[in-house]
Amino acid sequence: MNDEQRALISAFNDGQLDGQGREAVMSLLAENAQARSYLKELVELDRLLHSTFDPVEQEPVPMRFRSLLRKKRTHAFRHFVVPAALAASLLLAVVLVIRQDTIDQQMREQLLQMTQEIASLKHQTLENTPSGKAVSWVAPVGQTRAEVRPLSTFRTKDKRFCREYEERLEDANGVEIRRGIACRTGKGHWPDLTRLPSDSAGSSTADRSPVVNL
Amino acid sequence: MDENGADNRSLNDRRTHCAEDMVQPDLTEQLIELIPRMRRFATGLSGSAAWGDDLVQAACERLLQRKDSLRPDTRLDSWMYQVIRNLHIDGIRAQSVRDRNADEIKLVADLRPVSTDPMQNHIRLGEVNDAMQLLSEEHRSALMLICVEGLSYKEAAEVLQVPMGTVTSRLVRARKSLVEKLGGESFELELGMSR
Repeated sequence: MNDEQRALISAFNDGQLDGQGREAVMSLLAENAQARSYLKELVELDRLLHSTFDPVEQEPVPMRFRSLLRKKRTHAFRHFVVPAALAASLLLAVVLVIRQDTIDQQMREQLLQMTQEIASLKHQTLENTPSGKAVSWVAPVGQTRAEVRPLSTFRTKDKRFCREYEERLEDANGVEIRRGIACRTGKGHWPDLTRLPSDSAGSSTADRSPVVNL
Repeated sequence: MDENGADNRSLNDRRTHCAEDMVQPDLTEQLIELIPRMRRFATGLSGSAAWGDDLVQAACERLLQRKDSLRPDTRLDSWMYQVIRNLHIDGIRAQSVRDRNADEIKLVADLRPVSTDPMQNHIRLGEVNDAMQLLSEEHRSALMLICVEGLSYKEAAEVLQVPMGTVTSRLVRARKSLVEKLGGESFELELGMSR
């Protein structure tokens, strides 16, 4: 078998021949044992190469490549974001100037309404809800959510009712938990006697002794 | 003949997949999809999974740096194969940011035992990698691109930047040389067992 025939069989094995070339190789294979042996050699060689190197292809993509491409993608994205953000800021500034008064008024009204709702929640909960049970309120707009949980009830020396409570406020910026003591001055009216620092709010209520002896 | 026909169809399927790897706007997604194949190629080329990964990483960085200068009809996989090969030839190993020592340089087959059945691996797969590393870079590249990566002779000629006729003759010589490096008699024995 000469080099030209080997090249032909090699191309046949690699799927590189047209119909005429394939017929020529098949004739050669039919009449030449060496040609058949050579083709088997090529098939076996390819199998060995695949068995050796294919496991690398089947591995998950290593973290170093994902990190590299993620970093680059972030940088590429920034090229778009910076001018877009600048344009958006300018547009927003114009809109804000035009609508400043309206927006301020709306925001003030929303804030006032929200404060009143939360205050009302506290008053109503302290008036009607037993200790340990929470009552919540969710703002109709936005992500603000409030929860009030009475913790314990006391009577002062002048016979007023006071309650320790926990207030949980949640909005897009996070969660704030505070504890306080409110005393009843009339039906459904529980003004704060004291508000405890928020950092004490995380303490367990189970082992809490009475807060104050009023 | 049927067996060979099936193998040819499989290669054609792979080539169809390759043809879809044009440079599109979302370059990084395409690159992530290509990385397994590029790692396989670079490992075969360098003989080491660690060196191979260094080559692929360097090629990725180069592609991302130059992505704006790529022509719309550039084939991403061909571009990557070519850059990985050039980086290998240029001795990117010496410039690697990773600090390696000789103990870390392990041949790929040492890390990956493929089969516990000795009859299925009469020629140890590690020997294939060892034998590959004894070939010239030109022969190794031709074998990896065509026999493992499934590129056509025309596609391989573009990556290797040589005429198709050169690829054809180089591949015949590369296969002959690999059989010799594997130990002609052992390989013949292996062939006899698989008949």
